[in-house]
Amino acid sequence: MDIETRIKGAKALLTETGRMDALSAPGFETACQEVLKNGHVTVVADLAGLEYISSAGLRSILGAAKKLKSAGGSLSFCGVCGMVDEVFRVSGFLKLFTVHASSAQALEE
Amino acid sequence: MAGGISLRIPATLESLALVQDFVGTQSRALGLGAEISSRLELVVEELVVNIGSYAYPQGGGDMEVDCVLDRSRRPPSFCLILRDWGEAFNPLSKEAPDLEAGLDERQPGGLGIFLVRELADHCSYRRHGDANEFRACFAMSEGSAP
Repeated sequence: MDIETRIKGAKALLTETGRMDALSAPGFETACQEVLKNGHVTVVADLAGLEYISSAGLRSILGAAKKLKSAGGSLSFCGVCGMVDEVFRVSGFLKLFTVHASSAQALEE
Repeated sequence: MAGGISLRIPATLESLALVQDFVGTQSRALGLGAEISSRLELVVEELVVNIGSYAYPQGGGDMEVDCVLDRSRRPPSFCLILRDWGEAFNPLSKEAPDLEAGLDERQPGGLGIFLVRELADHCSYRRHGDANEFRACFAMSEGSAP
């Protein structure tokens, strides 16, 4: 899994590509902690390039979201599609998190 | 039931890529559609991780992976079978996570087996001698079974 971080104003956009499995998943929480350390508490994760996610990925997302929330910020998503969309739906993540139509819209809001 | 060769390998996270390769090859040979492949990958990962943490909490055990075509099921199903020789553990006895909980209350555990149950069409567990045997089956689409 590759994560590209872009800072746009007060927000951070993390673009993930590849697979978020038991081996790679902790990288997402680490990337969120990095941007949080630099004072960006509002994080949008673009998952359009993410081909695969398992419960390890969901755990990493939950951990990051709890940390951002307790810092007064939030974690939201865009580009949720394919099997990632199915896993998000089944595990209740579509109800738990805001999913934007596009990264442009996510950064504007 | 039509079966193939099985894979016996240490039950560690390092084995995951090999198990995924093995199951991917077997499932394609048995005619499982590509649309199911990422669901199957997830089920494989969750079960391998699960064996590592519950059957062998101290590490150091083997698991065996089998792929079979079960024609006795309607519709015929591709079944993944995982065996280990660790502590008796029925993953199906685990409680489902609370999906209605808000972010603060939401617990990080329990999602793996929940996803296995939701994404496979049928799951079963049995303790067979000194082995745990877990089976996850996926219905084959009409006409895809060879």
